[in-house]
Amino acid sequence: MVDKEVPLIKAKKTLQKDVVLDSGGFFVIELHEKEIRVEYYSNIYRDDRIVSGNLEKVFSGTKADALSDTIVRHVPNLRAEHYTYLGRELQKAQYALEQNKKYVQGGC
Amino acid sequence: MENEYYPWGGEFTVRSSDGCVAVVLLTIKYTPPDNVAIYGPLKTENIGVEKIVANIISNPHIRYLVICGDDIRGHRSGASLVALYKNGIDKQHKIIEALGAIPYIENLKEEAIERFRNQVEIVNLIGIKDNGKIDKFINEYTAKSPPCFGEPYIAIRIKTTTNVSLDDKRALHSKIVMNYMGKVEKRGK
Repeated sequence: MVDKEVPLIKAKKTLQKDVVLDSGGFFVIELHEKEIRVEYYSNIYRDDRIVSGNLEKVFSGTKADALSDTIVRHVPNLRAEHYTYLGRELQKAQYALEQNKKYVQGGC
Repeated sequence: MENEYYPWGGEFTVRSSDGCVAVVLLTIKYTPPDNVAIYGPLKTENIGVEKIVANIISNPHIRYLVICGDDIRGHRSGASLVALYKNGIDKQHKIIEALGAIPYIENLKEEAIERFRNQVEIVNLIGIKDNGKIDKFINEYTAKSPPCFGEPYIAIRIKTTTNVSLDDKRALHSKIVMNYMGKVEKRGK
């Protein structure tokens, strides 16, 4: 007898062509003076495509968790996958910072 | 005054504070000599170009901008930066005659762009990856020792803010004591 069945879902990466750009904006992540700097831009459109962004806020810190928590508070209502992407990238940036390695922001 | 330089920040290395040459690295493995003011990579033809302009005009000692290495595929960021210097932007904020896909300048005023065009001379070494040859150009332009352009132009300043959250009761209570009527009895610690 089974009381309850729960689904086991295999992970599958979203293909680059299927990534939906966030209308809420985008982030630029860089290492700067022994810190992680995250710039948040709102989208600028020309002919219905994103061509650039308006710099709205800049976050700085050394830890991915602190940066993630702070960004969620200050930049709400983004797509869920955008936040998970941000978490992954910030963890990579923190690793690079701690290991004194080069960090290059990756795609979604 | 020096701590006003490069207010936007970014991925670059600062060398000589009164150096007159800045170096933009496209696709190249190269470390410029210590006499340059600043060097760093350029990736995108929109925000990347904006950062370079903003950071350069913040340091009036910089009078030459060397751009070297193979241009960034697709973005054509180096060529876009040269086009900005030569032609400026149109009413849509697009760099005139830029080769990049999305060469839009949105975070800088036209005044800042004009300042950039007047302050520096571009030394276009796009396509050149010979380190010795680039060193030679840098030393040649450094030797010209031009005068400082004047005051720094701060296009963007990142302002440090302190936020006191209403959820942070320690911060709130340590500053304000309220009585049962809701009036402030005491301020400060």
